[in-house]
Amino acid sequence: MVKLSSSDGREFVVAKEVACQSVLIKNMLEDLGEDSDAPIPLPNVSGPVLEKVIEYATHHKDDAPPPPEDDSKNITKSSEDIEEWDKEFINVDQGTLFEIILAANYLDMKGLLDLGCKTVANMIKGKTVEEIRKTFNIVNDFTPEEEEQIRKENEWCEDR
Amino acid sequence: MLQPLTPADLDALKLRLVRHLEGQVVAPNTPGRALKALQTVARVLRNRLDLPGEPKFQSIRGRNPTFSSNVLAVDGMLDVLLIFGFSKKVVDFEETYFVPGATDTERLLVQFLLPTLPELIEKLEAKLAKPPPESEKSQGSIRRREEVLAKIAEDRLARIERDRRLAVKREADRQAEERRKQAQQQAAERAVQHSANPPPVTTAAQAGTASGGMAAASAGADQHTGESDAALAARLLRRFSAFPSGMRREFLLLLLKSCDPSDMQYLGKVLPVLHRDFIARLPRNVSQRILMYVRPCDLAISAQVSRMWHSIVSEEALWTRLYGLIGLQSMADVFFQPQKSVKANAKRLSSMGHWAHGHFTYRAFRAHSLGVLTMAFDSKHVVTGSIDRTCRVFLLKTGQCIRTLVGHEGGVYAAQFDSDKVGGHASLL
Repeated sequence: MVKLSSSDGREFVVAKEVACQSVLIKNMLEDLGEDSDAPIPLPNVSGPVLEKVIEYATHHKDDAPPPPEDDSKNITKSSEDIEEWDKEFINVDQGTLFEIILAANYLDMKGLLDLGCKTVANMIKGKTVEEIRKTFNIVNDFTPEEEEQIRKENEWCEDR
Repeated sequence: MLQPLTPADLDALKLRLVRHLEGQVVAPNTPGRALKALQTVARVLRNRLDLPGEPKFQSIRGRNPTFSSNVLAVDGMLDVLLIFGFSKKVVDFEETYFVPGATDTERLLVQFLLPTLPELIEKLEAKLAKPPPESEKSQGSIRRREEVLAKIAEDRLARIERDRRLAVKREADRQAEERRKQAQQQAAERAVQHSANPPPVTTAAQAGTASGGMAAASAGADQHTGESDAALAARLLRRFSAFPSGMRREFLLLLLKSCDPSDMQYLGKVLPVLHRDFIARLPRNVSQRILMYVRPCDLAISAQVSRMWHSIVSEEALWTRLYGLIGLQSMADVFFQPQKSVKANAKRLSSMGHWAHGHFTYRAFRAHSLGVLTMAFDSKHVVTGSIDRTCRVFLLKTGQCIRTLVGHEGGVYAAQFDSDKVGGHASLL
């Protein structure tokens, strides 16, 4: 078992194979040696988010380890390809999704990071500019002239 | 270095700055000199705010000729610098002035105070543009006006201070009054209790301490009723985060149910703060990872969302990864053309992707009886030149031959479209 300590001081005890889904923790454990009892501090992850992350890692603990990072081979191109459990898991508000992605990036959990990125990509795909701004509450900070210029340049009219 | 500032602090500081500028900078110096000093300081601060990462705007050497003659040598300007938050240190044996803007607090302060300078600069410019005919007299009147202004500002400051003190005092009085009333009530209740069932003598002391404890507890409760709404809200918020999750939800629901329509409207308006600008706020490698999952047409759309999105979508590193996705990473620097629009690049990526994945249609048709030596395209047509001494014009979409051009005595080795003529009117070399 491995003890993890979140930024707000909460401690989580998880099985080693669950914790080792995170490459960061795996490397830390290797550095610390097997029989270290001290909790691993994760100062960039808050308790509620760590709880979500552990839920994901527990569900995926029997997955094959991901192949080493290489853009060309590794990314399964389609963002639609998300399994049912994952879809339900990542169905959260934007704030939580944001935190989960940050945590996955920090903890180096490729599967979870991809899940988060695909989810955001799906929020962008097929939308108009205005719809994207609405989705993420983004203020249009172009001047009218700039906007006109950029719109003209980037209008996508065919083979969408 | 600076403590967090309250709005009241900021107001007081601004007032001090305005009074100082009018009394100690504008009054003793000539308008031209004061103008130059203020313009220089405003420019320095503006540069620092606009380009926070630019090292050359972060500090100024004391021996810098423009800065020392335009600013440091001008009466009263040193204090202006201090109010804005400049700090002086010796670096490499030279006096160096550090321009504020390194921390959020400093930036906030500068942003708040900076607008006072352009106002004054405009006034000075106006004064310089129209030198009054009787300068001495008008100088006097300006001086008088400044005095009046300073007086008004001073009065306002005093009034604010007085109001605040009064409010604090009133609040304290009210709380004391409340406590006194509660204590009286308590005493009365206790008296009633005691007379109703007098405790045995042996446990009197105990009962005394118990009721004392109770009194203390209720005094605590009194304090709560006497505390300001803001303090209560803060306490509730602290307590709320410690609620068990079921209770939190129930409480939230109850809170929502007790809202009136205008509250709900407000809620609808501020709910967008729960949104996140993922692309702009996530680390760049993660934003790029997200964009690698969208289609090329979505990239062109994303470029129009905001300045930040436009700059992220235009980054070469993203396109290198995008080409990597279709196995053409090594060619990315050839295919990606930063000077062209995102759309043009997205289209190219899209067709490259089609080629790489084998998604294209292929059609063969018989064009010439002998070998084809040259071809040229425009958006609708293809022109071929052949060793059989003819040129032919085909429609790209269907492959239909719409013209056969004859007349050359030898094979046609080159074909080209004239820039403003189309299709069959191609001028052939």
